Amino acid sequence: MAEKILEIKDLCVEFNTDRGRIRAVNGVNLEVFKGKTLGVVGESGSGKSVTALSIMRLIPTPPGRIANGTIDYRGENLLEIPFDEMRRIRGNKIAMIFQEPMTSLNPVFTVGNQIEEVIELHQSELSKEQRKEKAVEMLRLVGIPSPEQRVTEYPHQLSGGMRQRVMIAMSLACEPDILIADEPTTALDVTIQAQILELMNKLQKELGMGIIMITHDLGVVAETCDDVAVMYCGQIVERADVKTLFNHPQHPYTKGLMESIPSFDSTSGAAKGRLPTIEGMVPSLFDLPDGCNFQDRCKNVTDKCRGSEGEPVLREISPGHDAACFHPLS
Amino acid sequence: MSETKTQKSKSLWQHAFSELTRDKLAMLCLSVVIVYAILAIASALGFVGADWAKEVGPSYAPPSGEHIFGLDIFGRSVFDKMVKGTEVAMSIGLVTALISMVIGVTLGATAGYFGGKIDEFIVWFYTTFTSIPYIMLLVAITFILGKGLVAIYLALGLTSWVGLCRLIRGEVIRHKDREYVHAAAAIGGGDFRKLFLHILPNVLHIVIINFSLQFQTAIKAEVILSFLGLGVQGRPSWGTMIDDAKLELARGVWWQLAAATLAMWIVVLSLNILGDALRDALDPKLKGK
Repeated sequence: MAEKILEIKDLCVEFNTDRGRIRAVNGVNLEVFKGKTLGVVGESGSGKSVTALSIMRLIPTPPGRIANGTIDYRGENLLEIPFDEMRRIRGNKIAMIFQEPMTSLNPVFTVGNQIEEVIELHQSELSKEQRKEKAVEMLRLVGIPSPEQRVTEYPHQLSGGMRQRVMIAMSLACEPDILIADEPTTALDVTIQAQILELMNKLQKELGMGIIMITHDLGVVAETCDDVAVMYCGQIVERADVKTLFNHPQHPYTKGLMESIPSFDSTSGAAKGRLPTIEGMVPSLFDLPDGCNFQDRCKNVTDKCRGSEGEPVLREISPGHDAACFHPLS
Repeated sequence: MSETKTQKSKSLWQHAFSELTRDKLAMLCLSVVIVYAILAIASALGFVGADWAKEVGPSYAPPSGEHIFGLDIFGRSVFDKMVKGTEVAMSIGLVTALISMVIGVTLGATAGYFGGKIDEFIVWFYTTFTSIPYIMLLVAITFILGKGLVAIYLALGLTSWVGLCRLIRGEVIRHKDREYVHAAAAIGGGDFRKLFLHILPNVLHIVIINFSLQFQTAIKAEVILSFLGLGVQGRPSWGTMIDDAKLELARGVWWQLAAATLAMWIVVLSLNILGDALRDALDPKLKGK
């Protein structure tokens, strides 16, 4: 069993809005292991990004607030350590890649400057020349051709895929324990996506960090993750290792997500009939139903799901496979 | 041979500068401003216009080959006074623009970045401040500090920062939620680093444009102060020359007014055109207009 480096317990994040208080993340438990990738999947607004930002303590407060829970990083609760110590962890031990490579780099500095900045912040013992060398080295590591030239260029001179590589170089410059990738490939086209994912897999093998891969793309999950957590309305509804989850989904929501991936007949290349979808809408966080949050969209719904026995909690269905459903599928 | 040519990329500022150098009119204006600046420095060091106070001919001698702008009431050369006046005008422009830049950027950036109570206070402060008629404020400040150059620097500097403060506040609010600022936080940067190292360079073009416009506004404002009798004392300035002219014009002595106005007109026009050209070169929204 790999070493557990991050454990999130019972995390709740609330936001105060004009229309009242909402719980964007409600009782989430997650574990990240060294050298493994944890996938967090869900629709927009399911609380994936908020969970990620909580780990970095980057939730804008106010209006946001971490209401409950602990985030243990190697025995230390990140939610309780002093702010200065948190800053030393950000970018150094826990790094993050954002969704939009086009806007995540500061337009007025060269990419070299920006990589050097991370090194300057966390490895102040290095001289300016060493930092420069390291920036070039990092660009080479993420597969950017002629890094000596690129290091002096500005973000607008690079393509989206290149910029995401620069972001990865930045986040890995201090060899972090954990890399949080918040939809790192969503803004890129498919061929570049594959390259970036492959690069991340390769670098994980070389550097041995744990990755939290936040995505809504099950294809990305299948390709990169070891464990998967499916989120719905701020809660984890199913959690398993990637093979089990894809082969035996227990929660109707997970199953629905998998069925709505377009698949093609391998012989004729034609699509197989009409693509199934999950009927209905995600309930508003202001007005969650009693019982299961998925009840209005579920085909197997019973009175139990409508709140007669409270909310379904995450429970073990088979060893290593948890689901929050009263009527698991198999 | 696969010899990788490491050619340094142009920075935003280098781009802007090469854009500016392509604009011939702007370059002309820039050289005019530089000539004025050199003249001002030379005059401050005593190389030119040092003997402006010497009586060189009869009172109110009209322009002639020897004295192209004629003589004033005490028989002093108006041309020398005009040259000496450059020193006052340029120093007022520079110091005032610097004061208003420092106040405007600091308050605007602080208000925009931190928001909340700090923002409310600063916005309240500058709205209250601007509700006081600006001439009244100028007069009040110069009365308190007494007449003189320092009083004018402070009076103009302390009353001219609001516009820049507003602009910077708005821009910082726009920028602070950009992803690159979040990314800066995610690598462990603090508030100071995010605001001054990441956001400020992105709004610096506004500061530069504002600086060039503030510069010429201050030069014009000095004339108003002098006209109100609150100008510099004991040394010639374009403002005091124009002030003197209000009595002279009735006697048909126009040359003092003409000289000061001409000198001022050229530099103010140049700074205005330069300001516009800077805006074209620096403001990314106007790129490729």
